[in-house]
Parts: sequence; structure tokens; C-alpha cells
Amino acid sequence: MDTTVMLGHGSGGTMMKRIIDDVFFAAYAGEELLRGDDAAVLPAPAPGERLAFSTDSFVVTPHFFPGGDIGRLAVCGTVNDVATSGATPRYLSVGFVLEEGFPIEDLKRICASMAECAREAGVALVTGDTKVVNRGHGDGVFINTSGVGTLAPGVELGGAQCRPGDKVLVTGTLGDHGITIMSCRESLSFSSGLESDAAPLNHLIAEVLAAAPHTRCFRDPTRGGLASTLNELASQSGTDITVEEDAVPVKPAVLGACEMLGYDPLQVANEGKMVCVVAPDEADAALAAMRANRYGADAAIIGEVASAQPERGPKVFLRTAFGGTRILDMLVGEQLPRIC
Amino acid sequence: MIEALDIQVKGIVQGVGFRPFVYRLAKKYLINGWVLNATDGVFIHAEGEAKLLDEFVIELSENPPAASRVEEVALKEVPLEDFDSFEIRFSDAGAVEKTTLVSPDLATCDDCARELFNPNDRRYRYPFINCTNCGPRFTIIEKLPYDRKSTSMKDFPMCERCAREYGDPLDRRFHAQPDACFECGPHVSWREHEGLPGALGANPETQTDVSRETLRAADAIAAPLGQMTWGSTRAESDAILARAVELLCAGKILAVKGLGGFHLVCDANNADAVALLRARKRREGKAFAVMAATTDDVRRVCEVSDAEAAALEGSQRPIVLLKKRPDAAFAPGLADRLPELGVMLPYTPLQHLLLHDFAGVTMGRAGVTMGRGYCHIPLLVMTSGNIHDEPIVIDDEDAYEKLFSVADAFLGHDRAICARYDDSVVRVINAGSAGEALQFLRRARGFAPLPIPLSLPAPAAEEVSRETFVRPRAILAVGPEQKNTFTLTRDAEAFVSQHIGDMENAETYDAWLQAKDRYEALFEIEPGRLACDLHPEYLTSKWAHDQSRVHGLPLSEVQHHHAHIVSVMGEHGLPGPVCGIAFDGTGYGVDGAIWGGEVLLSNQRAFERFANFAYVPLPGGAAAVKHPLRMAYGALWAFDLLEHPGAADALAALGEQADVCEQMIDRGLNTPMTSSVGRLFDAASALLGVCTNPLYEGEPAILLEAAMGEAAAGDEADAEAADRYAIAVVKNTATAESTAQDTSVVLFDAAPTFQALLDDKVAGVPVPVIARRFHDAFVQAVVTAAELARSVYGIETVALSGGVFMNRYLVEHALAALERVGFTVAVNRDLPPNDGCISFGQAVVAWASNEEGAAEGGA
Ligand SMILES: [Fe+3]
Ligand SMILES: [Mg+2]
Ligand SMILES: [Zn+2]
Ligand SMILES: [Zn+2]
Repeated sequence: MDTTVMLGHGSGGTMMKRIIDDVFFAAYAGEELLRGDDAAVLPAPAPGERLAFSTDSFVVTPHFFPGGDIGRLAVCGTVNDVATSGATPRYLSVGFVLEEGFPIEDLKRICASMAECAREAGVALVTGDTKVVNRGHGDGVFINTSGVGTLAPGVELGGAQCRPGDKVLVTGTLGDHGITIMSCRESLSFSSGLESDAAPLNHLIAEVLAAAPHTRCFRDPTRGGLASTLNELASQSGTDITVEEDAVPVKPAVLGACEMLGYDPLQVANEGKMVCVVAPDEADAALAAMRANRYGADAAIIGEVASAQPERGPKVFLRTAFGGTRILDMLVGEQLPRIC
Repeated sequence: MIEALDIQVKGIVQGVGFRPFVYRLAKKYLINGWVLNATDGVFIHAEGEAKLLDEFVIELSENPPAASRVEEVALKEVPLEDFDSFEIRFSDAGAVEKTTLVSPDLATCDDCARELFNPNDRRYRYPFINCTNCGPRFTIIEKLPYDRKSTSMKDFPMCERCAREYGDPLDRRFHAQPDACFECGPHVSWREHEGLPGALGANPETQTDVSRETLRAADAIAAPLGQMTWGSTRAESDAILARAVELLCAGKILAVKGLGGFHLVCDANNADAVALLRARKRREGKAFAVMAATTDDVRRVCEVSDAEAAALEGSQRPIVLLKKRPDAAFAPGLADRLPELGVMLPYTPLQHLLLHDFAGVTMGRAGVTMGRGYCHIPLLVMTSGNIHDEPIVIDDEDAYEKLFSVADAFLGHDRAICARYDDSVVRVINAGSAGEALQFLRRARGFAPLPIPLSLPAPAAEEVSRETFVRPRAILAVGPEQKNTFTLTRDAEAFVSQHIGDMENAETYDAWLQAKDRYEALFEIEPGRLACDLHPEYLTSKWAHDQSRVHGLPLSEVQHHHAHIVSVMGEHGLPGPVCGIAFDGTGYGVDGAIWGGEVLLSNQRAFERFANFAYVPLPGGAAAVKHPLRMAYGALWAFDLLEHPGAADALAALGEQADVCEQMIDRGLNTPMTSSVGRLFDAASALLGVCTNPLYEGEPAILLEAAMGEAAAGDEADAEAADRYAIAVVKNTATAESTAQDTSVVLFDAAPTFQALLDDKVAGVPVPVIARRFHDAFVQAVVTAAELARSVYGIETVALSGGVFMNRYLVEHALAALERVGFTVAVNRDLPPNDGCISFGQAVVAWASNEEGAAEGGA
């Protein structure tokens, strides 16, 4: 057995066959994958159903971090993106770009983690690809995943559906992933207590949809954090959104780290959280459904949608603990002091 | 010999009693003809004896009404028409072009103040007395031209007697639009929280024992508001004032409606009341301004020079920052640790009454407030009626809601405020050869929106004759993020808005939009060009980019410190090049770093960065601005002084944050680089233990200046210290190709200054002395920078701007030192050196760059 990835592993020859058998098939040997054909052939959706399709690439370092690894992230990311449409994620493709010299052991760990996560999410890994690049031309491992899900008739979720009076919910604490990755990557001294929240949320979403059929949309508050996501929703639907700062769940360790680093937890990336906008009379039901799920224990209603004033256009506001109202804007670039 | 003249008077000639003044003058010099408000000002046709006509014109030009501002008197000899009287002609609204300026709000004049307290006057104690020489203007205007029906006085039809005064050219109230009396005008209103003993109109049976003590004990701030009471008659109005004074004396807090918004008011000699106001308003640390009845009163607690007295008593009635007298005692919590106190005099009749009655009670019953041992004059805290960073409240209903849990009672009235104006804040500085000059810290009520003339770029100016005049595109300059003002230009005039505030606050943002719309409507300006800051994250910049995209308007992005410098150039009409020295907090630089210690060779269009302060890391960006100890860490790191024994206590105070700062700087994590001088002052303040946990923006530097106290300068030790503290000047080795961001010619390195500061600290030199030496190093740096630029480019004119120059010591000493070595020095004169001047600077840059613009846009 090889211990590190070699250029030959991407050659298409026997070495490649070996890594596929030993690593990938060993980790997630589904029926479709095991057939070994070039294309996965999948059943067509039932009449009236539609397909949801999403893709994402993952380039995070470190590859292993508290609360997860790049493999778990790669599965969750795409599963969650597909699920935000209200679809049931069914199939996943996986493409690896490996750097020559990457430890096979690490690859196996990543694959095992992907398999476990896919099992939990109930999606099948049905097709894949591997490329190997020269040493120095990659960052150990890059993963691309694409996912297909089926969408039941009548489900129409989307940011444009938000309307005045709707409630805004989050499924748990914010900022965990971004701050964990940063403190790990920079090996900052205060990383204790920080853990990424990467998780497949498709079941939680399905449960919320069952409990609150007038859910308007789900959104994955990844890069740019809650602030960016809410601004997208506000401008898609032409509404104002006001968030109560006190109501936004943030773990004390994350808050402490953000204060130290000068980051706003509302601008920090998440991987295992959903922002959800629900019709007002179903907000409590949606909240209860979230909290009943293991990934939604800290869910909270954090704010409300209101009609925007035409003069100023759609805006997101943060009502601070002080009682003041601050404009929560989407960053153009990096965070820079605006104080003169 | 009888001659005839057509006279055109330009300037502030509307709403200031100009026509009756002309009328009286005409009578005095036996002039016949007429006076009329017309296009571009007041027109006069005057016929009379040549000699008398001359005297008429001279007095017209040299002795106009106090509130007017005559900018130009144009004379033209015309044929006689043989008038046999002098009349005031009435302009039809269409004829009065809106180019005529309306004066800003004017403080109650002496005549009105006399009548207010004259028991025989029919307006005795009427809280809204005014005349053509005083009273509200811009705060009550709904549209132009300025006329009662276009103001919030439109709901108050005049009684017969008022109407007679209004129509009489010889009356002081001739065409005084807000003229009114008890019978026909606005009245005060009163509401207080239920449960306070002695409430107006309450059943006296249940309210027997009202003493100051029972009032003091009652705290009913959570109770609902009681019924509204109106002061429709003098008796009712006086009862309300008496109740207001009673509550003030009991240490309660009132919301009182002023000209441009509500004030929160309490007894400034009552430390408990001051503390209560701080807690309820959530305003920690930052000094409160006070109102005193007279300049004589003020003199008993502050030093007041002639220029300061003039500022205090001027019709604009700003808050004037005055040096506290060393022998005066002030209630703790008012303006602790600061050498100055912000003081203003009453400017509305209601304030006159309040101060007068309050003084009557407190001074009459000696020992009530005086027993506390603070200053011996009646003094009221008058702070803006808002919570935290929100805009001041202008509407009574809003006040009941927003200030519900701040004010014990509300003294409002039914004359609506149409526009929000904070109190202006000024101080008098010693501006070298210019003598004593006003320095604005906030420009609002009384001053805005008086236009500042734009000096046309030379070639365009020659083409502009009256006949061929093509209007240049109007510019909207949106201003910065904090201390925002915006500027609108019309022809060659720039209307700089009143202070708006910090844009991040949602209500301030809305207030900004409202104020902008109001200006555009009032002055009939449709912007054809936009200007904004270079900072991509300023909300104003984002707004400007959106508008530019949506409406296809050209947009000038102006670097923050160039705008600072150009604001000075614009105010003084300097075409440049000047040596612009901007010492500031933070601003976005063209290299993406945070600038703030810049020497910019500037004209009105462009600049070259000649020198800057060597970059220092800002660990955590805004977090380092809020925590000066982090800034201190950044400075120590940059200056290689982390091991200095003098830094040990600051590092200990930082605790584990020191490690975080180290790691962040090490890894470049959320750590922008800055050349800001303001941040160096923060760092020094923290290192000296003067201010490590600021409660408000700018406090570390403000307290560092205050820490100097009266420390005497000039001994031998100081001469030696000057060498050690001197900021090093080094040739910048960075190039456009290198990784360093700053590629200016010269770097100013404050490492020796900080080394000396820490050495002195370890040697036990008193903090006041260290603080002064530190200041002096920056004064010297200003001179060095100017001399370097002069030696290389021969530039003799220096412009100073930026928030750091609100430091009185620094600006006065820098001015004097520069003039000593032969420079011509300009500082902000009509606008604050802080970010209140940015929008004007932006507008001037856009204006000067507006080459193609001059040919576009409608006439
Ligand atoms: Fe500035
Ligand atoms: Mg994604
Ligand atoms: Zn008057
Ligand atoms: Zn009347």
C-alpha cells in the first residue's frame, strides 16, 4: 500500500485503480459507484417532481479541525445547498484534486468522514474523479462535490418570497466555523472551546418544512456570515430586515475570540447553520421543529421582515442591546475601520 | 441736485428686516423711490439729493441690520422718475428667485428680550416672542421663498394687533414671519410622568405636601405620561414654567423643545441630576454643555476673552468651549478632567424664561444648590435630546416615545420644527497673524446652510459673464461616515449641511436622506455630479456608487485627507499648490492602508503624497481604535519597544490580549497598517495610563492634551528633551514595486518619540511634562514637513486639517511655529477640521475637476 499520493495515482493506470479500490471504494462502496461505469445511471424523478442541482468546491486548510474536516465540509456544503431549495438531496459526485505527496492515511480519513456524513444525510456518492497535481501545485487536497436532489411539487422556496411581518430564524449559534478555522489555521493561542459546526441539515430542513409549510426560504450563511445573507434576502425581496442583537445566538468562546480579533460574529462564515424566513404564524412551529433536531438545539427567532422605505431601499438593521439601531451592511471587501 | 440710483444688494437680506431698514433709512435721508425683494437680492430705486444719496448708500453698506450679511452693493445711475414718496413694494412670489439667501435661525434679540421681561409689554413672558431681527428661520421653513405661509407658522393666523405690526414698515415686526403673541401664536405644552407629587392640574386634596424633598424622592420614570397641559394664557404658561423649574430644582430631567430639536435639561450644579442624566441617556464620560443666563455669569466660572464673549453673544449662539477658571468648582460628572467647558447663552425666549426663573428660585433660596459647593451661578445642562448616537428628536410625539425613560417631564410646544439642527460648537483659538479666530467643532444651528463661495478654476472664471453664463453641473458631495455633513453646490456656491452624525445609525442615515432632499428642494438643486470618499465601506460611498450607477451620474472618489486639505483651500480660496498637512484619525488611503499622518502636496484637483508617518499595525482594525492599549501594542511593536521597561505596565494591562496582538500582527490577521497621527496620540495616552478605556470617540487624545495642564515649558531639560523626542525624518526606501505600501518620498518615524516617552516615564518625569514634550514633537514635525516641502518644491503655503487639529495646543503652536519660519498658514475657518469638513472638500475637488461639466447641464 502506498503511503503518499504520487503522480501515478492520477495516471489512469493500475496505480489509479489501486487508489480507487483501496481508498474510495473502501470508504463508500455504493451499488452505483461499484458498477465502475463512466456514468452513474439514476432513476428519473417521479412525475411532478423537479430536480435541484448544486455544486461547490472546498479548499480549506487545515484539512482537519475541531468539529470536522474538509471531507465532512464537502458533503455538508453541497447537501445543504441542495436542501435549501426544499429538495431532498439524493446523489452526490465527488472530484478530488490531490497534491503529490499527500498522505494516503489523511485521504482515507477524509473519505471515511465523507462516507459517514453522506450516510447521515441519506445521500449516495454515485460518481467521482481524481486528479493528481505536481508537488507545490495544490494545497494537499481540493474537493469538488455536486449534488442532485428531488423537489416535491408545490415547494417554492426562495429569497424573493420574504414579505413584511415574516420572522427570521437561525438554526443555531453563529460564527463557530469561521472563527474555528481561523484560529486553527493561524494556531492562535485561544482556540480552546472553539469547534466547527459543519453538519448536514437536510433532515432539519425537511422537518421545518413539515411543521411550517409557509416557510419562505432557507439560506446557508457561509462567506460574509449572517450580515451578507440577510442583505441578499432583503434585496431579493425588496424588504427591510431587522435583527435583535440580543436574540442572535453566539457561543461565548466565539464572541470572546471575535472581540479579540476585532471581527463581527455576524460577518463570520458558518457551515452548519441555516437562516430561515417563515410566515409569522408558523414561526413558533418552525422553531420547535428546529430545536427538536440535534443540529437545531440553539435555534432562535432573531428578527423580522418589514417593508422597505423606497427612498432608502432595502436595508438590514441591527437593534443593539443599547436600544439603538445600526445599519448592518454587506462588506464590499475586507473589514476596515470606518472610524475617523 | 436730485439724482436717481438703482441699487442692488446681495447677501443675506431676507428675513432679517432689511426692507424696513431701507425704508427707515430712506426716510432719514429724504429719499424717494421704492425697495423690492427681487432676483438676486434686494432692489432699491432711490431718488434724492446727491449728497444725501451718497450717505444713504454708505449707511446701507456699512451699517445693515445685525443679522444680515451684505455681500455686494451694485449701483447704477438711472434717469429720474420723480417719485414723491418711498414705498416698500411687494414681490409676487414668482419674481423672487430663490437665489436670495435666507438667514439661519437667530437668537432672541435684545429688544425682544427686554419686552419679554417687561410687565407692561403685551408679550410679557410670551415664550415665542420674536421680530425681524431674531427668531426661527431655517428650522421653520417648509419651502422658499420665505413667507409665513411657507413655514410652520402657517397654522397660526395673526391676531389683529400682530397683523398691524406685521404690515407696518416702521415696526420692528414688519414682515416678521414668525411674529405672534399669546392671543394668536404657539403655546408651550407640558406633560410629565404620572406619580410625581404636585403635578399640574392634579387634585390639590391629594397633593398637599409638595416639597423639594418629596419631589426628589419620587422617581416615576416608568409610569405612563400624564395629561397634556397647555400654556394658552400667560397664567397657564407661567404655571408650566414654575413647574418646570420646580422639577429642575428637585434634580429632575426635562426634555425642552428648542429651535432645532429637543434638549435634555437638568441642574448642572446638582451632581446627582447630572449622573442620572448620564445613566438615562447612556452617555458616559463625554462632557455636557451648559447654558448660563448672561456673559457675566459665565465669567464667574470660565475665562472669557472679548472674542469669546462675542462668540457667546453672537446671534448664532453656539456652544463656546471656554477655559474653566481654576477657582471655579463644577459638579462632578459635568466635564471632568477637561480644561474646557462648553457654554452657551439662551437663544429662545423659552430658554430665557427658564434660565431667568430657575435663577430666581435657586439664587433666591440660597443654600439649595449653592450649598453643594459647586459653581455659584445658575447653570443648566443642555444636552441634545437623543439617546446615544441617534439624531436629536424634533417632534413632540417622538419625544414622548423616544425620551420616555430619559425625561421626567416634557416642555414642548405646537410650533413644528421643520429641520433638525444641533447646537453648533466652537472655540476661539489663537490663529497666529490672523489673531483670534473661531474654530468649529460642530457646525449646525446658526451657521448652516450659509453657503461658502467656490473659487472657480481660473480659465472657467473668465468665461462666466452674466450673459453667457452656463450653469455648471450641481454637485452633491455625500461626506464621510462619521460626523457627516453633505455639500450641495449651486453655481459657484457650496451649501454645506448642518452636522448630521454617524451614518451607521439607521435613524441618522434616514435623517441624512431627509436633510439632503430638503436642501435639494429648498435650493432647487438637482445634482448632476456626485462626490464621495474613497473608502469602499462608508455607507455614503456605497449610496453614491448606487446612485451613480442608477442615474448615470459622474462620480468623483476623493481621498479622505485630500478632502481635508482641499476644504481648507476652498474656504480660503487657495488654488494651490499648498503643503497640506493632515493629522487625523483614520481614512482610507489610495494604497488600501489606513492613512492619517499625511503631507500632501495639493491643488484643488489632485495631490501627491510627499511624506507620511511610518506605518504602524492596527491589530484588530476598529478594535484597536476602541482599545488604545492595543494601539499601544501596535506602536511598541513597530518601534521595537516591547522590551522597554516603560512599556511593562501597559503590556500587563493588556494581559492575554498582548499575545493575541502579537499573533495577529505576525500573521497579518485583521491588522491593517496605519500612518494615523491620531492613533499615535491614542497609543501615547494609553502608555502613560492617561486613558486606557475610552468612553467616547477621541477621549484618549483629548485627555492627553488635558493632561498637559499648565505644565510650564522652556527650561533646559526641555531643550534637551526636544532632541530626544524629535520625530525622525527618513528617506523612504519603498518603491512602487516593493511590498511596502507607502511609497512617498519621506517617512516620519515616531520611534524616537516613543522611546523618549518611555525613558521619561521610567525616569519618573511627571506625566504633564511628558505629555507636553510629546505634543511639541508633533508641532516640530509639522514645521519639519513644511520646510522639507519648501526646500524641494518652494511651496510657501501650508494648510492644516484633520481631527487631530481639534487639539488646541497643537493647532495654536503649529500655526505660530510655521509663521515664525515664514510660512503662510491656513486652517479650517468656516468648517470644523474634523470630518465635518470632508463633504466640502469633496465638492471642491469635484468642482475643480469639473471641466466638461461647465459646458453641460441646463442654464
Ligand atoms: Fe478625517
Ligand atoms: Mg455552498
Ligand atoms: Zn427680536
Ligand atoms: Zn397676536
